[in-house]
Amino acid sequence: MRSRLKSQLLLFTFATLALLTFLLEEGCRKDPNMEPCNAPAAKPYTLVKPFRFPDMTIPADNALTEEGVDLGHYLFFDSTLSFNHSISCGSCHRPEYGFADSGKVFSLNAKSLPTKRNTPALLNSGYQNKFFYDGRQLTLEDAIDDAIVHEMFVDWDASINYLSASSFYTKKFIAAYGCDSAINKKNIIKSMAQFIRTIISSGSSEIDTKLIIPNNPSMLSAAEYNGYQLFVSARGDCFHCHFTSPLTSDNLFHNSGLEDSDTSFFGFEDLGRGGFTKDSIDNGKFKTPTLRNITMTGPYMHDGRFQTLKEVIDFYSDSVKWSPTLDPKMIHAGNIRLHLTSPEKADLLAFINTMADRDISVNPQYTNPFYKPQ
Amino acid sequence: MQIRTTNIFSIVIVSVGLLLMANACKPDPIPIAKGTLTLHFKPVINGTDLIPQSVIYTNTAQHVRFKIDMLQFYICDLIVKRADDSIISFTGANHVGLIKVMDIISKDVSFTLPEGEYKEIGFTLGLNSALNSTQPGDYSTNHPLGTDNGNYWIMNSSYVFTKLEGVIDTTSAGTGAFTRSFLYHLGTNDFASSANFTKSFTIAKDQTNTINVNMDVLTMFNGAFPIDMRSEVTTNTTDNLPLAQKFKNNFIQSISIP
Repeated sequence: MRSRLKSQLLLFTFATLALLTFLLEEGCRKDPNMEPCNAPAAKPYTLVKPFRFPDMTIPADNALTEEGVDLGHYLFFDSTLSFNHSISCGSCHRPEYGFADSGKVFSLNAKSLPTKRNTPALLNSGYQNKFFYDGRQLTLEDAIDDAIVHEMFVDWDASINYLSASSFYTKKFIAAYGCDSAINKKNIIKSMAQFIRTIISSGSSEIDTKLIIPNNPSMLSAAEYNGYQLFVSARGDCFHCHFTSPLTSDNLFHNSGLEDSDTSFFGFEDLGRGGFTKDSIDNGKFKTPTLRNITMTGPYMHDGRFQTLKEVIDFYSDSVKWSPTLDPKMIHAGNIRLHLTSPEKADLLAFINTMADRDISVNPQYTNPFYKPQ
Repeated sequence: MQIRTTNIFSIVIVSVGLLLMANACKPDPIPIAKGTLTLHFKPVINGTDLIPQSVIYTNTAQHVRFKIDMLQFYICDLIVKRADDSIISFTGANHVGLIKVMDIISKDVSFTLPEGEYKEIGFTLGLNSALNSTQPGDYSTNHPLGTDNGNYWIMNSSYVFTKLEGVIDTTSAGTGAFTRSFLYHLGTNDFASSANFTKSFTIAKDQTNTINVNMDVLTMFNGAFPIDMRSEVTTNTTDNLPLAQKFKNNFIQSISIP
């Protein structure tokens, strides 16, 4: 009796183990129609920076990879991220216009409504520590999220479903983030940030080749040299905000006298930085834009009020207005206007033109990848 | 033969044992106890902390109402003298401090020191020539010497060591708008200066000793080299060397450690 029970118990144990083994093998067997995923690790991307540019501060959780940048490049120009598939980031940040918009005072968002401010250029954004004219975002990733939500009105679920159904994007996400990668908001934004961090000056503009690299202003033409002397002296007084590094922006916020604010701290049509900080001493202040490629990014100022650089120079020469938050640097020995002569204005413009970097607009590294030859 | 092998084996065992014992008896190196010295820069006007951009002050000696928009400067090369006259110094870019009193206020610089008694503090206002031969591109963007701070003159190949900016009301009644400004920017190697103070202080293990460094802003105008706030209003150093020299001298004079 005891022996029989023992035999039955052994048989039962064996049968159970056999069943479990079978079930486990079946469970692990792959769908014969599915290709095995064996994506190699993404390759680190090496940023090539111009002479005297700093090392970029890149978030530890979003190191640049070849595949991540490539994915971001496509997503940047893909209208999938707007709620009605009408616009992409590249619709308003166009390479041929220095990654600003094409001569528009205000761009049109995905609902065909004008944006609140003129579209800022994205060149060298990876070197910035505050984003938008009012500096309301502190990381590039958050700035991208902000724009996708507020200008493209993204429906994240719909966009993610659309991308997930695409074998093209599935492969690119796997290449960038591995076999276990998820097509989600976080990875979408990270990829776009990676791409935008690669949009940096080529170092081929005349200001680099004639001035910054040789450190020899005499290589400039006569007009450019005269303009340079104005630019870096109190006479033209551009250097305080635009010549503290080769980035040509001090990355700070200033009221440069666009409005008189009716002598009030609150009389500005756009409060700018103050609208974000809620501190009245910041009212009327806006972030200093880079002058690199400025010839391509008009119209100018946060509200696009000036169509040409000549108008901008005329403003600083003859039309600066006083207000309580006007930057002290805008007051020159009691005068808020420079009263430049016409030849001085022309020379200043000649020097600013040396900052044009045509490579940006034609380099396939930046142009719309959906249009490039396959 | 067997006896000889056993003896050799015994000798090896004993030797290893002795070696281990000797090492076991060697005392562990005693870690040097350290604490933190924080220099807290404290700009004051008429005895109260400077509040930039919004508060109106009066320079009664010059009958001028004014507001400070920005006070900003570098310090480097901290040197402290211990009670036994030994000296500890902190050089290099990792020990540069940038003091800011503007929209962002940052007034502290900290250093790690061995515990003990100290009797002197010194530092350079500005940057030494080695640091000033570098450029913002040599650093990460958020380093005190990096591009985020906008403190470099490409045309002079120099950092801007010190900035004082503000606006003034020059009306005789003192009731007008602040339509004039002053701007004193110091840079280039000749405009760095040393500040040394006799100050007894203690650094205790794992503790922070904060020492106030007072800065009397009115002395920057009314010091031994008076600056007329109405007429001497702008220097970017190289474009007005006499005014830059006066401001440099007054700036050093304005600093004290009580």
